[in-house]
Amino acid sequence: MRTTALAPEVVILGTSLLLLLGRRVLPPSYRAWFGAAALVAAVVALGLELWLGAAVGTLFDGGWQQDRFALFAKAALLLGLIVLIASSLWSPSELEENPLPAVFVVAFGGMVAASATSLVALWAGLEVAALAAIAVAGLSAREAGTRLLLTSAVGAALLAVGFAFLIATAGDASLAGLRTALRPSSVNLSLTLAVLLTLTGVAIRLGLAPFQWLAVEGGLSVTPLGAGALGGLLVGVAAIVAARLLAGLESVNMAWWPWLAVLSAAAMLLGGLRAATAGSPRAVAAWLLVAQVGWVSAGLAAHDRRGSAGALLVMGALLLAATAAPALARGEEGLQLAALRRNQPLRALGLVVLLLSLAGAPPLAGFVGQFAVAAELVRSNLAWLLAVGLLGSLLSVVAAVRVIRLLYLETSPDQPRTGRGARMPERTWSPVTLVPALMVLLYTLLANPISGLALQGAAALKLP
Amino acid sequence: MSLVAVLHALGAGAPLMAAIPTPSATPAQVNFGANVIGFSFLLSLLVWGPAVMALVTAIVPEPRTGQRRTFLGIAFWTNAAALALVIIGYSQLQAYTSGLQFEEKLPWLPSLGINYHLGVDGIGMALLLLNGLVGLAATLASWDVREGARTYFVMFLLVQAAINGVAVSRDLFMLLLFWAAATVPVAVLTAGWGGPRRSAAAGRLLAYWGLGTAALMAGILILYTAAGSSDFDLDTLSKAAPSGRLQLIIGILFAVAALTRLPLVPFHGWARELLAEAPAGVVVLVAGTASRLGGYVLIRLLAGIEHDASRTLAPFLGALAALTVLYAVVAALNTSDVRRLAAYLALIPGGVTVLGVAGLSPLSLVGTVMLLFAGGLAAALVAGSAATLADRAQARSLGLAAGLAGRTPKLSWLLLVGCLAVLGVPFLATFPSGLMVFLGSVRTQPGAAIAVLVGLLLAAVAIARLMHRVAFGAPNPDAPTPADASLADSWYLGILVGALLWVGLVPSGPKLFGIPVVDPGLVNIVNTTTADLASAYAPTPLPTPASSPSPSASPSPSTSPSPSPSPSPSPSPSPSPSASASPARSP
Repeated sequence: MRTTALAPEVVILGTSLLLLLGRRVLPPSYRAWFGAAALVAAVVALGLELWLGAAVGTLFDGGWQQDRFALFAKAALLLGLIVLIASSLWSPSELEENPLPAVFVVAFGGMVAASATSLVALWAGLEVAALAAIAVAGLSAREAGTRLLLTSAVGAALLAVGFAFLIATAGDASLAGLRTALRPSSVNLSLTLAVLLTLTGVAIRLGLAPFQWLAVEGGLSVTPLGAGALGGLLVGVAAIVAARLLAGLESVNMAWWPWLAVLSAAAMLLGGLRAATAGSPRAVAAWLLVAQVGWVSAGLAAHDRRGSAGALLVMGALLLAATAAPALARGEEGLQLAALRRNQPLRALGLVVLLLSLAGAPPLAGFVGQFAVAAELVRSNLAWLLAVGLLGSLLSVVAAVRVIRLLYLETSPDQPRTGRGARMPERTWSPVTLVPALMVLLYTLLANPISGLALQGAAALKLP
Repeated sequence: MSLVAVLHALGAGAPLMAAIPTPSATPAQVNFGANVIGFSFLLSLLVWGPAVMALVTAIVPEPRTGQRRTFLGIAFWTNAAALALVIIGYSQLQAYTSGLQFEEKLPWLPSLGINYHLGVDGIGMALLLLNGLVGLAATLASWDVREGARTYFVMFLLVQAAINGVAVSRDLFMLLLFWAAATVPVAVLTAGWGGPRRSAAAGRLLAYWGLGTAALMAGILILYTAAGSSDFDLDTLSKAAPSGRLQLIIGILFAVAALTRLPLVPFHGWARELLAEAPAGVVVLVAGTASRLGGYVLIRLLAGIEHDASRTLAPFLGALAALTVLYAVVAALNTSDVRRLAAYLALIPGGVTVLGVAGLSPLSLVGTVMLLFAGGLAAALVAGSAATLADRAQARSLGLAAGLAGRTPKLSWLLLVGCLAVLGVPFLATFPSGLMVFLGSVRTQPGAAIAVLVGLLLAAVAIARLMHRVAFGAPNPDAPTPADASLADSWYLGILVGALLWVGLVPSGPKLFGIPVVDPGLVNIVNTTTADLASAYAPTPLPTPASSPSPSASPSPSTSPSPSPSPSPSPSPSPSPSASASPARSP
């Protein structure tokens, strides 16, 4: 395999460095173009990934691999990155602290994890992404950043201990070695504890309830860009790590799938419940994210090829919606939302589409992915998990309808109900706010090739 | 299986037989619209047309002052065009072929086993026609919507697209997709434009319909898994034969899904609230078509696929049907709110529909499909006219909205027609369909049929009370001055009454010198498909003395204990169902 396959990673890392240096070197008048340049770079990286990533192979003596899973995961991450950057363009004040280099590093960490062949590379990719995401969040909210760093450190420690035990047990750090060394007969109490520690570490980054601090509490206390990085990109990276890791632990699935199923159920139910009672659209979006992450992990808990394919399909939909939802929702709540509908109708419409997709409402991208997972849950005799998931989805839809009601059915304070010639507040049409929603719709329309790619990706994980 | 042959087998008398419409003796000749349009994408147009127009409504610039009805106009012309297309499709439908027509099949998500598969048979066409008529009526009923008209009509058109989608989907994923897709728009319509308790109504709707959607999804997935199928196509899954216990679980899940939508006691909470609180247009749409989808799923998925489960569940369904009718009547007698009273009355056609499914005989199933259409019109008429009357009278209490016949004659009489349609009086479409249901189910579910009949008699008392107070009682001098139906109100209620009368008077379609003209006849359209579907439940003929006493000739234990002399049902679509009807009619 040629090293040109690394071109997307080079573009991402190079852009990050250039953006970092550019701020120091270029005069301030050029900074206004940083966002657009970053967007172009992300689009180029995605194009390169789709072009060059189709070739399967390994580099660095097998330390880095490109397979269909890596292709799907990186493409999804880069799509999420594009949406996140695009959503930051309509609030330029967020870019004053120059968070974009760190955003690119989050994506880079995810790309490393997607191509990882060993536990060390998985850990490194996830930790780089987590640190960068916390940096994005902490740039404008230092105190929240410190808390997030501490929370993330707990996850990192759990993961490190778990990985160390697994390496010691298998005598090999590679995922292939892990798969070969561990047998169903290897399951004992110590291995189970190690696996549970590892999973808990991943769950903290994934935002799985009851470990949703990073994705929800953290996301709500930082800027929309920071929330998108934490709740969108980082969750995507954690899902990629979980998929790769659990494929390596397939032979000892009895040690982890019940725990993962319970965590999934908790996430789906708690996410739906909290979303249905949340006060602001941003909080609703954060909790809907938790519920949808539950569906991702439910797909993985089915521990087979089709379940993982469903999980990947949900992950793609989640990345698109969760990265942009905080930027669209911002801080408005209550009657301000009615004003949002009047003053920024496209933004309001975009927000509705994203929330409905996160809630799994048909016929949007989230629903298609969740249906694929649901089919696999029935096939895997996890009907109880499906029942909990459906209840969570019902609550999620209720939450989305509550926001729709506030947006479209309440009268804003500045909206004259009657009277001719009354002055209306100025209306802003910003088509760029509709980009994430259009991406979600495109994901739905292209569900056929995407689901095929997800299935190939799951097959690359060598699951039964 | 001929309807009349079945009736003979049941021993019904000649007067009743004469009242039952029979399919035409000869295949329909050239009808209006035949071969005018040979769309291979007719069904896609019916499903996606309203959805695209919803998008157009969402993005067109705000109309200038004085052009307040722009959004209404878009919805009206969309519905008018859809109705015209449905009528052409209805006329062109090969009434004597039981297979799918206007079929479209494309791979959509092959990796998940999901196809874009649309197709329509007699049952689906009846539902499409119902949605076309009710949709147009509901648009006119929304004439007075001024506040937030854009959002209202966007949601309105999305609901219609979803209903058409359910009617024509042949892939169970797509059916589920459209089934669920109606929920959010109906909830938004109720929450936005409803009465004082609109939030509670929308919340209940979300809860009940969400439960139904979850049950449907679980049922479909279990069926898919049990079948070991690689796709969700209805034709493939209908050939699956899950084990008895699994079939019962699937059947219960389908029944729960259907009963939450139809609705039946104890899943009726949303209907009571929504029909009493939502604006007239939404009431007409929900009572008329959205709720009929429950009956459709009951026929298509429960009775159509899970035969053993249907037989097991039939007594429970019959009991629930009877309970629903009796509950509706008792509740109607105990309320003093004219809209709630009408909401309770609107539950009755759903109860009778389920009785037909519980009957599990060819006759009752044909009656059920007919009643999907007629019952939808009747429920829409009674609930819609009560909503409009309460609006015009500016009062909902029977104490205030009293003695209106003199001041609002049109609305009062239209409400009366709606009530009579719920009762199923002759000359209205509910009569022949209700009669088929009763005669078809009285042998298999006698207790439930009699209980429903008693319920209908009591409903007559409730209706007499309603009409006595509202229309012909002494006017309340303290009540606000009422206004009669506007032109739009008259038109929307007139469309519903006209359709009820048309099908009631000529269910087999009008004929000129024995040749069908204008309308091939609803009973002809639904009969062949339903006969195929019902063939699994037809009584098995007794072995003739000449036949060999082989074990295969003995009647199946699951069929009716009384053997029928009628010929065995043939699933073959080729012979006209009426071919065997003609000799049976001549004594």
